[in-house]
Amino acid sequence: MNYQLRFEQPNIIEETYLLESIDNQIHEIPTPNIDFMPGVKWGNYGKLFTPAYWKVQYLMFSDNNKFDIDYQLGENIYEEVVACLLGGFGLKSEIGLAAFQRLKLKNQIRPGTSFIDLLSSLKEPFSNNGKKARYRFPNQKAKYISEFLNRGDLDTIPLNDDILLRDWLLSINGVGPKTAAWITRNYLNSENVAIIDIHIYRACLIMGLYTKNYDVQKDYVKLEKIFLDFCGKLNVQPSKMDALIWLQMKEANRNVLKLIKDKN
Amino acid sequence: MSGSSGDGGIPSINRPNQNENCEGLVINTNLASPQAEVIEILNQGDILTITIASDQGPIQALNQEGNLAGNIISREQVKLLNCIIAGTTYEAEILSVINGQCKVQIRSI
Repeated sequence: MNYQLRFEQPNIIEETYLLESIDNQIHEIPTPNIDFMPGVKWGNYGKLFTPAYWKVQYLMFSDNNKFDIDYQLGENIYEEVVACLLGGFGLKSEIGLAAFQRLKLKNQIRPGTSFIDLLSSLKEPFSNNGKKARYRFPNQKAKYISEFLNRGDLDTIPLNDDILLRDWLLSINGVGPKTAAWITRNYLNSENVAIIDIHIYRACLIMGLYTKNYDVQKDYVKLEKIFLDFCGKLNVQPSKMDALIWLQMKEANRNVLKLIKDKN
Repeated sequence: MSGSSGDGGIPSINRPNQNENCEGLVINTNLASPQAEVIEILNQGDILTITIASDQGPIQALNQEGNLAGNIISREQVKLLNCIIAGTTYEAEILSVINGQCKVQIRSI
């Protein structure tokens, strides 16, 4: 027994006011057997990962502005693209951010920066929690970034329209639909795109919005539309629902896998 | 940033208290879907048993006779379920019953 823990004053999570403030909205949620979307029921709001559950969680997290989301990583579109290009695909987020900060400090995130300069910066080891760490794929990422920063059309990036921006970003070598949506959401606070990562994909799979036949790469636009329709039907902001689902699915990993197994 | 596994950052949703241990998880809340016939005979200080209908919930509060008094919904629902599945036992003490609303404190035994 850990006596230290036993005698610590526990922090009491006070949620009484929450239930009182959203009581009316909870009562407006249809009963579990009502169709939410074709082939998908609302489900029990007390049961994990049903549409009704996500609605109630969203209401609870929306109360008193508990969502505190600051998406933008860069100070301009070049930095935003580079920050997102440096992340993802199994790279540790800390290393990706450290690489971004290094390129920024060296003033290398500007039009015309050469492949050699970028490669040299990415090849130097980074310090991660006191340990030396190397950035994976320095050649590939330096190539993508230098290609981007040396394009002739950088002054025509459509920064006033989220869908046009997303489409433009897809023309960057190394940027797929998820990264393009990520940059667009970050930079323009767009609610017209969605980042369909593994957690969102699994959540939608559990609800029955997606089937296993979908391929995230090939069917991205279709999956994105389904997620945006889901948010529209719940009357919630996609960016906030995305953050909420991401956190909860990550926390509930074992339960999630069981649900997916049961679903099949 | 959020919703981007393996990407450059971590989603940030303010959570008022993030207890790392199941024993330290204490939540004050009202019962959801309170059952009037059960609630009306409860008194301050009475203890309800916390149980789960399945690994995915719902989380239920039962009186001594095993009758459903209401459900628990919380921002910490995933954590509470994980803790119960992992073996921590919780109870709910009645803090008040007013106008059909039943305020409880959920804590580990």
